[in-house]
Amino acid sequence: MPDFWVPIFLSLGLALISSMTLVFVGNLFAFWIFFSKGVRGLLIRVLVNLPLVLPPTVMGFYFLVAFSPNTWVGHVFGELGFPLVFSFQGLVLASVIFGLPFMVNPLISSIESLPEAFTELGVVMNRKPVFIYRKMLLPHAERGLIAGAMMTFAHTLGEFGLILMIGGNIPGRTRVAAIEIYNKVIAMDYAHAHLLSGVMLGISVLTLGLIFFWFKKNRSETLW
Amino acid sequence: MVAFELKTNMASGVAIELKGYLEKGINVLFGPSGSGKTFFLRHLIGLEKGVRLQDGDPIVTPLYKSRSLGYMPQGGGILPGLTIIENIYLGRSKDLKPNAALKEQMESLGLKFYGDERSNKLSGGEKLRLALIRAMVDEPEFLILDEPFSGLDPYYGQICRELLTELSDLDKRYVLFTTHELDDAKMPGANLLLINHGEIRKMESATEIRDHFFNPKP
Repeated sequence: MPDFWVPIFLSLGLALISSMTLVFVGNLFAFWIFFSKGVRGLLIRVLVNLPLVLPPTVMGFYFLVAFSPNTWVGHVFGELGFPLVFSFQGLVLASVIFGLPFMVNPLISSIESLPEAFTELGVVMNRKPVFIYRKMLLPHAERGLIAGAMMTFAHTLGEFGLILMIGGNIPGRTRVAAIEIYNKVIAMDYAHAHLLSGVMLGISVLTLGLIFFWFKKNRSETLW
Repeated sequence: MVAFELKTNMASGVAIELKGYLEKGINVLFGPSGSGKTFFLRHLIGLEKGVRLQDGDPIVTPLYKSRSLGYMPQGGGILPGLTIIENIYLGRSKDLKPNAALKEQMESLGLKFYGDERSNKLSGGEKLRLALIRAMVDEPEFLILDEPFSGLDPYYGQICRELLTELSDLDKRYVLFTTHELDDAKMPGANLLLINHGEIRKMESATEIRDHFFNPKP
């Protein structure tokens, strides 16, 4: 593959894998928040939303501290051939953590806006919380789920600070489009920077267009 | 007979004390809007704490955990993203086709088995009838229905009342529904209860209920 496209496909791959992973992980957190009472629910929400307020470099630093080869987690994964720093899989893990609020917030909003009767019916019928969530609530929260997945995808495409901290700048592995644009600007290779930026702008416009098109198309199908 | 006692405060802060009993068969709870019918049902079922129940011996609360209970919330509570049969079974069975008895019951209430179509396509009346079937499908010991006939046309309203009477005739179960239709007081053998001004009273007839509404005694 020509060198020009490698960072772009790395960015797309990272965004796709992270958002697909977050569909699963986000549901776990949404379930946990929805069925947690009092202070516990509040603490989980704070945890999930930390990436919204923490500077990416702070998150990157703590990620390095937590998953470097000097820690037991980093060491184990390193021995298995999947180091968590300066690697693509490390970027995926970091993007999943960083993308949590973008997935969980629309999803939990969607679920919390459902009539209380949906949950109460499940409680009265002695259904387990997992059943209530999966079979009674989630089928009615597809807008939140789709919105979360799309926002996560779009957000991951543009990540820079966090990726630079934990991934470095390794060609073909962690040098995503945002970092490559930065490299070209530093090197004063503006023509290349323009081309890359233009392609990323086009992808971003297409992504946003698909998001709004989907919402417009599904606006009339109000389930309740 | 199940005796109930509830001492609590309503959302407005007003203290209430509701005492009475349910008989086997049909029990009808009348009350004007805002009198606390749904409030009482939620406590009886166990969605809110505070009620004490006895049928000779104390009944463990919440009621939905200790006894078999079928419940229809106000408006039906049909999940529109699920199909008809998914709404009825709600996890009871992995076989998502109606058995013969269920099919007959659905047909008597004018409901077709629409296969994979979502329930949001049903009319308001169809959703109510579906909710009633869902509550009855396991022939529970306690069948608690919040305004089950509100919004039904006269024909299906009558069919549903007959179904309830049939179900309660087996003399094994307690059927309690709330209403503000005086005609429901004429259901044969019904135990009539009136909730108003923070108390529940036993009534003897539709006339007494009507008199109470127009000439309430302190």
